[in-house]
Amino acid sequence: MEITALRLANVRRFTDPVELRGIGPGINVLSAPNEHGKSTFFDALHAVFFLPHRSMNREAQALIPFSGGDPEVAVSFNAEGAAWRLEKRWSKSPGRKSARLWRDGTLVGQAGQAEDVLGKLLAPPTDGGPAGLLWVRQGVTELAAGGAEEVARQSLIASVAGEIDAMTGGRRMEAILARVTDDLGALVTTRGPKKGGALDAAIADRDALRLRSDTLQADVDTLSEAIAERRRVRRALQGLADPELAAEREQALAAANSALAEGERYNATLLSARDAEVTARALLDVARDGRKRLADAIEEQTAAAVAVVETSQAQQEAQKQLWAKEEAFSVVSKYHSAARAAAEDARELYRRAVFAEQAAEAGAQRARLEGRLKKAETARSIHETAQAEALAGPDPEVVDRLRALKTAVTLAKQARVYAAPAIRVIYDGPGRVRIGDTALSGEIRCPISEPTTLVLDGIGRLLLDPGAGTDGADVATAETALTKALAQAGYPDLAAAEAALVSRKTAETAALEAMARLTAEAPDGIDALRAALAAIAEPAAADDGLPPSVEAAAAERAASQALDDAEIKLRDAREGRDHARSALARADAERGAADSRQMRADQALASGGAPTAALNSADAHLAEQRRNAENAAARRAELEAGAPDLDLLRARHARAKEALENLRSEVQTLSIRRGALDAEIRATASEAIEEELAETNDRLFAAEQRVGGLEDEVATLRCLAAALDAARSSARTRYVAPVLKELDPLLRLIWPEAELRIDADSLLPTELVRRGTGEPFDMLSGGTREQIALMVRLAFARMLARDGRPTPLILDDALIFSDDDRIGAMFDALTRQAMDQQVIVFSCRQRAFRDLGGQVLHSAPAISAGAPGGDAST
Amino acid sequence: MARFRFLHSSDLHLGKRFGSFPEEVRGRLVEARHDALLRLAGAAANEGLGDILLAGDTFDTEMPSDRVRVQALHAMAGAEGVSWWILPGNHDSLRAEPLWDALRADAPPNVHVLDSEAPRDLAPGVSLLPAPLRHRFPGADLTAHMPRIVTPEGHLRIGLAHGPTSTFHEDGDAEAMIAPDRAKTAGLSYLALGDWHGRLEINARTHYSGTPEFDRFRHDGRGACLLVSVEGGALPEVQRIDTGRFEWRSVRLALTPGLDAAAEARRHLPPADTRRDMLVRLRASGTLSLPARSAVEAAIERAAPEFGHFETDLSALITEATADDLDAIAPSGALRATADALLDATRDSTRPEPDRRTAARALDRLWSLLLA
Repeated sequence: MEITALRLANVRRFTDPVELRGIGPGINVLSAPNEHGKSTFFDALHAVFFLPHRSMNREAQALIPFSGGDPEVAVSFNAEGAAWRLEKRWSKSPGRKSARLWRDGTLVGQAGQAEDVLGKLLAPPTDGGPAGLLWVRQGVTELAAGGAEEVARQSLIASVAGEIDAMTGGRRMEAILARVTDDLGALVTTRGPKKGGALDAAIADRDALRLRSDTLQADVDTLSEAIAERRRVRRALQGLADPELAAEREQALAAANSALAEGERYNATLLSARDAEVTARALLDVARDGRKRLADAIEEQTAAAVAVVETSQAQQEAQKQLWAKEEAFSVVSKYHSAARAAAEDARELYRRAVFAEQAAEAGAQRARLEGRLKKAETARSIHETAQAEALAGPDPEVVDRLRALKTAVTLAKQARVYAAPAIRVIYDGPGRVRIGDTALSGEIRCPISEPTTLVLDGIGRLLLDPGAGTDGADVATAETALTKALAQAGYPDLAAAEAALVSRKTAETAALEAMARLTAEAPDGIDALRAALAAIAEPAAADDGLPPSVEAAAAERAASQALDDAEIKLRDAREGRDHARSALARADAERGAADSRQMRADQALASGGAPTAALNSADAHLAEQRRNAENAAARRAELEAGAPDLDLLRARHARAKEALENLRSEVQTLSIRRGALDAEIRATASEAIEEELAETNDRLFAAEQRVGGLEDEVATLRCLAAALDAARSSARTRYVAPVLKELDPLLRLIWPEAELRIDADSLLPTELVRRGTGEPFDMLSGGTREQIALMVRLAFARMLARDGRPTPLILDDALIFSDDDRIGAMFDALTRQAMDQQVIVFSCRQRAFRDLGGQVLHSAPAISAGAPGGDAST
Repeated sequence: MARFRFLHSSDLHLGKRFGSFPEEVRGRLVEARHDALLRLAGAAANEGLGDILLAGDTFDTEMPSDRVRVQALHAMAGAEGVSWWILPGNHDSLRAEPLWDALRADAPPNVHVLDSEAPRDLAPGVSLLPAPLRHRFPGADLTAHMPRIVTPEGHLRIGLAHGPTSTFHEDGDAEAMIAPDRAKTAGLSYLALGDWHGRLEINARTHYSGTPEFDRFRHDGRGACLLVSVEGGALPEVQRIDTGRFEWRSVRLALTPGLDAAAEARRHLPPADTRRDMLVRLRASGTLSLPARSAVEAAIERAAPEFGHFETDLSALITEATADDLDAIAPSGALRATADALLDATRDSTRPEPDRRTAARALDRLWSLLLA
């Protein structure tokens, strides 16, 4: 959109028509002193676009001039590739309210239709961005009531907030979201109904009622069943109380009784016939057995006689066998006794031979031990002597010290010799030089360590005195030490000491050797050796004439073998004798049995007379008994064929009796049951469960409604929260980041290294960071804040222009707190922004805004009413 | 036979507890039901009547509590000069033998239990032909035997039955319904019916008295009984006598966008001085703008506490958001986007209906949070 002309009449101080001329693209500046009417142009411009002509609200009434009249505003603008003209008149008189809109000179709408078309032109984009134009009102305009500068500053902040609110919903959105979240949080959590919340309580109430309803329904069902059963019981009792039914059952029982008695009588006759048949069959069996026993006895008598003969012969043969076996046993027994005596003799001889050999071995062992003991005692004696000798000798260290002292004496003497003056004679002739009688050798150095008299052959004596340097004090000291050490050691000289040391070492060697021998002979000590000797008994007297033990052992083994053989033979002979005795006993018994059998067979036949006659008589008796049995069976069969079913008769009788008893019992049972049911029903009825069930079901219905309502409430709140959240997120994504991006270069025009920080939730500027130091927005100066506020709008405008929606930016004294330096930078920002969109600036700071550049606007009386659709400025 | 006058009532449903109502209302409703006996007795006394015919469902359940049963009998016993003729209905059928045994055992002399089809003498020359329900669902027209019942020559025959007639129960088992012409076919001077809780005339000789104290919103107004006067072959004279303490009223608001919805709601509500003993169920339908709906809800919220009980059902009320409504929420920005998204959701026919209703409620809520 681009505004091209503005004309107003009857608006505040402009009772006559006035026009704003020269409006064009880019920056347009109306710079005039106070009271010139800049804010009137600003408000009129806002009203013609956004205040419906039918409105007479505070904004409309604020347009009315003090002298009265209907405010009229006309604006020309380009939009959507066409030239538009809009005229509006507000009036308290409905007939004078008007709105007209031309497009390219053609009237496209009046009144409401004009507003509708205008609304579409100014409609916010579908993505929720700011609509129509961007406005920055004069801060001090808001001071009309108060006048405090701080209020003006706050209004600027609020203005920024309002702009952001328009995009993101801002604080209203936050408040609503918080309210919705709180309401939702009072009902549910992410895991379900909130404990203790209304929904939770409603669900708990509903569930409790549902449970109670189920319980009551079960009780009511039980009660209903009890009532139904009581009815059945009552009807059953009514039926059972019928006298005809009782009489019928009595008659049935009597008839069953009679039939059963008759049947039982017949059954008794049948049982007698069965007994007679059993008796006849038993007698037949007896006769048959008698006949068989007789035949068997005759046969047994014959067999017994044969057995007597045979067993008698066997008895005689067994007796002969026994006699032979007893003879054989006697012989073997004698042989065995001899073998046993020989074996015992050989064993004794062997024992004695072994004992004698053991005694001889003990004697030899004792002699060996006695020899070792003697050697050991000798070695111990030698050891003790040598050890005493060794202890008497000097220690090697003492001897070594004596040797050292001796060496010191020798060295001292040698030193004296070397220190003494020396003479060397060189003989040229036969004469010699002598010390005493000894001639000094020629060419040999001869030291003179003490006053010496040299005899010079042929010459005389030469007395030599070596002087104090060879007085021999060192030698004396060394010799004194040696003498003292020898006295302490107890030896006259070193040779004696060394001889004593040699003797000591010899004694030590002898002691070691003696100890070795002692250890060899008595490793456990002499006492142990003595104890071992004492343990060996004194040798007994010799048993002469015994064979060696080896021979005695062989003889003992031979005698034992002979005894073993004799015992085997003796055992065999005993067994043979015992077998013969048993065979004789068996033969005796069999003979006795045969005699008894013969006697019994004879006795069995003794009373029956002749065997043949007795056999004929038994055959006749058997035939008679067989006929009797056949007759009894025929009688029994005849009775069985006509017998009644006694079980059936008994069953009928039992059933009739049981039916009668059941009738009486059932009446009693039903009467008891009816009483129990009455008690149960009364008890249940006193609890009024049906009424409670109906009430509970009603309450359950209400509770379900309540839960449903609260669940609807949850769904509603969730739906609203989701929509709010989605819209806010979308707005932030769409606008905030792009606006901040556009804002950044604008900020750098004034603060090259500054960064504006934005609160993530409210999207309001929170602080300005300059050179690393953050300054809260509220603490910034009024000028700084109004500059930021303006830049935010410029950023918006820039962003909209980039989106192909250039939107005029209208500023009404927007920079009243900015100093001259800052205002220059702001002019740069405005100029930068106005490259691709229209900026209309109203300002009272004439001098300062003179540097802004752009087109200078002038207000002037309208020179024409303006042709419809034409340009109001022309 | 001279003229015979009596009271016809039914469906007292003594013992009903009204669990779906708030606690503070239940007690009053229960007490009013018991008091219906006293008001019937009072009506009989005022009219000089000696007989009250109760056409079934005197008790709400088959086994009312001892307290309900005994107090009912005491109330009846206290009505001097009045005979109560009690017919078993479907709620208190003869199947509930313990109930009727107890009633027979405890009934005072002026209470007559009609537990068989045998005709009873109401007065000299007046025979009562009862049709007691033996079961909750009898499955047959229990008045079918009445034509076969022989009464002395010249006696007035008055039938007493409980159940639906085909005139108002068209979807039931026809064989189980009382023939509407039973009075004619059985030679009855009057057939007193129960089961229908509202007053209903089937024909000149056949009437439902309705309950003396309403217990639901199905019928508007107050409960009543009928004063019946029969004489010879003349048509009976039937006069309604109000007995109900509480007035029940269902209010249906059909709203349109141009209507002043709040004023319409106020116009449908009764005068303020009668509201304490009035139970109202208001159901609104139609279409309203967001502010109009808010105004209606506010009007209802202000008026509801004045009533004995007030239920509101706005589920059939569609909220139509206009461009002005949305502008009022926000001309642009995220709040406007929220409102637009919710409005789109309400109009999106591809969404399930419950989701659309939820979105509509959410839009209402947004509007009320911002502007109400």
